Amino acid sequence: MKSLMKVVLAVTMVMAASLTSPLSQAEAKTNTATYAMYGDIKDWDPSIAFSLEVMMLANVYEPLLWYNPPESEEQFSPALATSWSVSDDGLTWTFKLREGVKFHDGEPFNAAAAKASIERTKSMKKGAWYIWASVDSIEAPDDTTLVIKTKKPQPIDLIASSQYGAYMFSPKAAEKGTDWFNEGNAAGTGPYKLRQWVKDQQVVLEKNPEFHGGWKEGNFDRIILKVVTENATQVQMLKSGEADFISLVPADIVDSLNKEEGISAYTVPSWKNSQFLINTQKAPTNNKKFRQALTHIWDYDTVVNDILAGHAEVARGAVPATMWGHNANIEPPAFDLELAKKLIEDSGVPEDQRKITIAYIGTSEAYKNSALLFQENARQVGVEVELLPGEWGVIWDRAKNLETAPNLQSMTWWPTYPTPNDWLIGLFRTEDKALFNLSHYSNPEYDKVLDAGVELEGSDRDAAIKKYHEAQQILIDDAVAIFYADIMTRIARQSNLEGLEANPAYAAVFFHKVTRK
Amino acid sequence: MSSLDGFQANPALQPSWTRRISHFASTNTLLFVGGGIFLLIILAALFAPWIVPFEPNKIDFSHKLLAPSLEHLMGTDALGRDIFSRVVYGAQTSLIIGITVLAISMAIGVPIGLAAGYFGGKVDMLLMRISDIFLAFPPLLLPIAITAALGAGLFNAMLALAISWFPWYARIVRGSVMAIRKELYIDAARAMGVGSLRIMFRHALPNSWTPAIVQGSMDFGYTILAAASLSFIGIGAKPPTIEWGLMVALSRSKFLDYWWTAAFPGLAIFVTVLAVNLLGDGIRDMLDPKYRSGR
Amino acid sequence: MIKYVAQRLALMIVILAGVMVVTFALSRVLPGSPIEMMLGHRPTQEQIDLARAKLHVDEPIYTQFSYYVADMVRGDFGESLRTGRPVLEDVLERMTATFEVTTLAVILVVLVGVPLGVLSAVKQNHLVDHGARSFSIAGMALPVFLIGMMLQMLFYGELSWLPLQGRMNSEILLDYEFPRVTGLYLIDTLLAGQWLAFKSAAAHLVLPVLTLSIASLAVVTRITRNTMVEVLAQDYILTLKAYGMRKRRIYFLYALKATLIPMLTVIGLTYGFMLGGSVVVEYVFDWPGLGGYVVGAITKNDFPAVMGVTLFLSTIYLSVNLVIDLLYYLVDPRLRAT
Repeated sequence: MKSLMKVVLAVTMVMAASLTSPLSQAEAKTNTATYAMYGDIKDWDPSIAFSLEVMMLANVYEPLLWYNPPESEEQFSPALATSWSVSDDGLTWTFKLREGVKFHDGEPFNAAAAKASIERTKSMKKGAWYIWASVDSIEAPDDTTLVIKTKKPQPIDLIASSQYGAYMFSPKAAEKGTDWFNEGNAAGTGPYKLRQWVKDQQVVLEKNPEFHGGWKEGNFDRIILKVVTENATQVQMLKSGEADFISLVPADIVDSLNKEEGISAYTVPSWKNSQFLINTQKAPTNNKKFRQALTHIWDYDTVVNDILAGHAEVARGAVPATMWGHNANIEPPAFDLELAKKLIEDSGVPEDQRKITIAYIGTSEAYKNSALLFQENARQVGVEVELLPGEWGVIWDRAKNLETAPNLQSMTWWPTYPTPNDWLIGLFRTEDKALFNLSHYSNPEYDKVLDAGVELEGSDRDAAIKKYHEAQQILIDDAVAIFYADIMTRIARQSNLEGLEANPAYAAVFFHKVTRK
Repeated sequence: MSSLDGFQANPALQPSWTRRISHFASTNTLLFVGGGIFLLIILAALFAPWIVPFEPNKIDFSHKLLAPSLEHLMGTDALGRDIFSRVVYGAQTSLIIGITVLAISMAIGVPIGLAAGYFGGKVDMLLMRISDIFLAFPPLLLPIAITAALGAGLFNAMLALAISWFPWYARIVRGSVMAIRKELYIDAARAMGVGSLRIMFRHALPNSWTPAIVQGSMDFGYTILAAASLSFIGIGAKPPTIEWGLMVALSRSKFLDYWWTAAFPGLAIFVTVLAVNLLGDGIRDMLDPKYRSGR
Repeated sequence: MIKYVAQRLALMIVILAGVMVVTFALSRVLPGSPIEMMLGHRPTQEQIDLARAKLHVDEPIYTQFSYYVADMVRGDFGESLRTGRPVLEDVLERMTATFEVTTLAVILVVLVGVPLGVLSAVKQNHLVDHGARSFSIAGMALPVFLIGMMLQMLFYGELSWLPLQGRMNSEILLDYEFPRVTGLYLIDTLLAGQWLAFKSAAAHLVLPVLTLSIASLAVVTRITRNTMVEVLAQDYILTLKAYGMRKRRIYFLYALKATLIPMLTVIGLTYGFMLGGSVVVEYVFDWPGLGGYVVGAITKNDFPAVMGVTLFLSTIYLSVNLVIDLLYYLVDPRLRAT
């Protein structure tokens, strides 16, 4: 009996002792970088993908051009196009394409493939297809020349560098269709190839030895994009060295993380902003006064200074202050419970109907805490708030459908390509079937002003900006969202990494440029 | 088969009241300890508004994640809320959960058990097979499935727990009704033309109270634990309800660095369930001498 | 024997049918339209038509039920909304992860809980007994998630001995391949001779297994003690003692044998408890088994997956209990006589 216990004890101790040595670098066979994503790839089709996929897209696929970080000498770097020019009337764009490039499936990249990629994306009318809406025709006179014609002057160079909807993919792959992509397939020209996808667990990318950009000593041979929904887990993985980068960095621990040995945590300017979209068609938020009241229940300063730990600014309207075309004259609503109370009384919404729902990504500490703060403040003015935390894919699907949509929906937006109209169109222009207009906002007058601005953007930017300013003011007047923060991008990574550059145009890490010291 | 037989001995031989109580206390230490703690918890729940130093939902970021101190006995959470105040208020929720789940379970289980025991035969067979079905799910899984169907929320979670728990009461009541079914006084009542329903409720039911109460006192802790688990995985209580399992869940992202955010609500569950279990054991020992400890 | 087996089997089938009534009721009769539950939100018309045909919603409810049963018996639990694959495929893939943890936990519990219970019964009211009893009373009051989090705090947070969560280090998993023969990483890695992968798998198993064990250990110790105490008071044991037989022989040969039947019941119950408890444990440790799958499915409104796993685990639970019933029969001569 006692001897049995001794054996059990001894075995346990030996086991424990042999297990405690963590994995050392020497045991890792392949030079690997691990990135913790907070959600899995939803759409594998590069014509459709329009959300968290950019991390995969920007490493597996290439557009014609890359947009450089704001302070660079040149606005663009060549990607699959080596040079480009626009005619004097601004209607004809000619791209010279890179020679000898092959897609991961062995198909050659040429003008016909480029034409097919853009035309497929445009005609599918999904995801970011609308960036090509102004394109009239595309021609491929020879293998290395692509000509894009528009009816009105449009910034096609900007559009061609978009982080969604502008990637070039193998025509063979396109033939196999969206279902084939969604089984976990990809065929781009980028530095990394897709090796493995385990749904809801991880995406493994592997070095493409034929990449036209070449390879340097110390580049990563393999990238693991690991799905880790809990931010606490991500932080632990970073601390233990299991992850090199994490995507969910709680704002309030950026500074303390940075003090940890071997970890760099900091913020960089971005074009991202966060808002809670208010459903304009669902009771009681279909009432404008009631919506305005909600914008005064939000405690902007506490959210920005405490919950986001100062790594943000209080927003002025729908377009962030870092983006051109931002309307700095907008007077943002202030946190004022008295005013809110009065607006609620004026709204005529009966007391027993002052109940709203608020949906947000449940694993985000910032959303969660903001929602709890909002709930507590709303309680003080007699508005009952039901919290609906969830996974992004689920709450997004629910928000698209008016029947299942919440009254308030969390949203963080970054532009497809650098233009203010991305917020104004993507989030608020009338949509037949809601995609990101989760306010379900439809205002013909707003649409008209906005469309006028879009038309002018290629020819007369100043006139376009005027229209955009007007549109931003309409959104404030209609209280279609609680615009609460222009946020900085929070980065947390191992400090032994080199070659990272902050580029607000892409919500991605360009692993090909990164090396480990 | 009355369980109080032991106490109805010759009155002349009974020791004095004080001696009886002290004797009772010494042989039932655990009962007293459990009962004492449980009483404290009930008092805390009842007088929460007067006990707590802070409003439990008051958010104050300037005081977030403070370690336990004299001002904040159990520290503060990520929103600067006082954990002690929240733990005290959490007692209300847990007691309500325990009582509600048991009440619903009994409301479903007792009539079924009565009918099965009283009628016997095919009725018994059918009712008991139906009850068995609910016991065929691994514990916690049926409540999870039911809550998934009904939608997350504290009330649905309680309902789900009750639905998966009622068969135990059906069985107990059935057992004790079966035992007295053949007793003479039931026959007598029947012979006198008393209706079935009346016999069941007036004569059979009182006899099943003791085992049902014993079972209930044993289960009270289980329901609190199970409800906390449901809240923990995100399908039970939701804010602004203050529930211990939910508090632990909300602390999950911080507990490795700020242990008190998880430890105190967790400890509250532990102490409460422990007290209730001790009390339940004690009550069982007292009412059902068959299980006397030491045997 | 055959008659007995047939009887138990028939009973199990009846109960399983009942279980299906419950899951059917949960997925059809309760709130929302079953189609929405099956397809999620915003399905296309084509999908809706397909689903209508599949669910036979236009037919009477009992006909629908018969189709449902036919599907379930064939193992067609529908498609997971989240992964878009048949639920059964997901379940089979993840089952082994759950099986690995629960089985190791059951073994640990029996290895530790039974001797502890016996010891406690033999040394009644001694220090060991009090210790064991306090431990089991306390163990039953501890929420499973708290045990898990405390272990994480200690072995990961303070000591950095063991990984926080997961089933294996993802790099090792990619670099040191091993064929999935049994699906149990501990065995598969050994078969493939991948020592490093074995170490990683074992290290990741320790905390979930401990968590699951501690919670059930209390129950097992307590029941072993109580039945042992009863057996020890029986006449034949007293007789053996009077004859001067060695105590150890009495306890472990005669007394323990008599407790075998109640012990079997306990193991059956424990297994059920662990299948339920694994939901919480897998959630805490991000373990890629069925429990974690269910929680994930709930947060993603993946209703077919929730019901599929529920039905699957219930079947396993019933089967385990059936096996135990049959073991009873083999162990207990009294049953065989009838």
